[in-house]
Amino acid sequence: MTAKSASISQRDLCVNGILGKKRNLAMIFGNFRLAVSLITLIFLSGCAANLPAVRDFAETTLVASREFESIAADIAHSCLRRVEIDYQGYRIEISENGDVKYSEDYESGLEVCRDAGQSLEGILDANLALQGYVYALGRLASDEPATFAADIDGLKSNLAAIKIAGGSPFAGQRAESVSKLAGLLVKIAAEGYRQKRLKQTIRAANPYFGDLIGGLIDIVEDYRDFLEDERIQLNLAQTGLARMLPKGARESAEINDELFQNKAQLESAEAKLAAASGYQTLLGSIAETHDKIAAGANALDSAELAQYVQGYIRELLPIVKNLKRAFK
Amino acid sequence: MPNLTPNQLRATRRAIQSAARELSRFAAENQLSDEEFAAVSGAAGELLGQSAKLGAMSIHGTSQELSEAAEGLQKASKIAVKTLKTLANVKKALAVASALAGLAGAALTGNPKAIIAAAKDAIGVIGA
Repeated sequence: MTAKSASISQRDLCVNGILGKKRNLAMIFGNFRLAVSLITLIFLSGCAANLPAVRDFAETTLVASREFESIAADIAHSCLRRVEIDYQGYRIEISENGDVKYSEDYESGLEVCRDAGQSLEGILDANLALQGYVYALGRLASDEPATFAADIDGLKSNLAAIKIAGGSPFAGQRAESVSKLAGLLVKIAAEGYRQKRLKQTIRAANPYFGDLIGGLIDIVEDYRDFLEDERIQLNLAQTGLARMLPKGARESAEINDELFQNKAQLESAEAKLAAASGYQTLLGSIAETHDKIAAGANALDSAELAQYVQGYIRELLPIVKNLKRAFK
Repeated sequence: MPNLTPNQLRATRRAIQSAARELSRFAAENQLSDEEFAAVSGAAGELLGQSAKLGAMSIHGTSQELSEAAEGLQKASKIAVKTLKTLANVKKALAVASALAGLAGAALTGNPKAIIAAAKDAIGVIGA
């Protein structure tokens, strides 16, 4: 049976059911208009089920995943901030013929930050796959079609280019999984999937989804290492500045201002570290909640699943708030 | 040829990072001359730079070489961190930092044999 004929036969079943109900209700109420209104309600609740658990999971995960963009963009920035502090006063060299150029050490320090910067596109692509998927879940749960477009080859090559720490977080199997998930999203859009294929979609996506989340967790883990490097460098700079400030003296306004700036940077790095750690935990919960939804795909409207998703949302909200505060 | 796994690389990176953290603490908690402070903070900065580079490295070798290299890197870093935690002697701190920087430098070549040799040297210097 093709997808189209399956869709028609299900619609026929609904219509036949409705006609039967219409006759019965019209007989009971003796009022055709009232019967039609009730029938419309029955139609909406019977043929397109109300699935708030899936919709809520999709919508809140989409909101949270937008915060990941700040983390992704800050990976290279954190690296640069550390290098700038480390090489302060040693960034420029004057050659024998008087040319002003960046020092070799500074250039070498910047190299690793450039690598991190070049990974940004792939990292954002991986996050886009997550966003595209949860968006599609929300649309299907609401019985609406989803749109998605992807250049799968481009996606694969961008994922392979991610090199931050611990090698490439999307090498091998994970890259394959993310590409397959993107392929599934393209299919969902092209074939106009609706709610009746939601269960099938969740089950098909679940193995790929775990790999996608695993790669994103590794990226956040590596980001925390960059932030920790920055924090240590800032602490060293603070010690150095404090040594220059005469004990009990407030007259050295310049040093005092530098220390003030350093303290603000340290507080920012610490807030980001805490927020990133929260998001890493949340990514684990996203995968667990999706597993739970996939395991309960036969009863997506169950009270148990709704309760589970509410618990997930309660965990998610403070983490999203912390991320917003840390990256404001 | 197998690679050092992402987790081994991350553990190595963190071990070097911990040594830099200990040097930073050492610089803050001890009365150092300006020269000594510059040397200690310079060494810590160098370790941080190496730690960041290490993460993005690809280290190939036979399984046994990789296993020995990872073990050597982590063992040397752990001994260094432990030594730095209780150290009050700036010369010794600088020697430990220099030994670790040499080890990290060997790791950045991506050659497991060089790492194994540098780890043995570093452990010798740190333990002396």
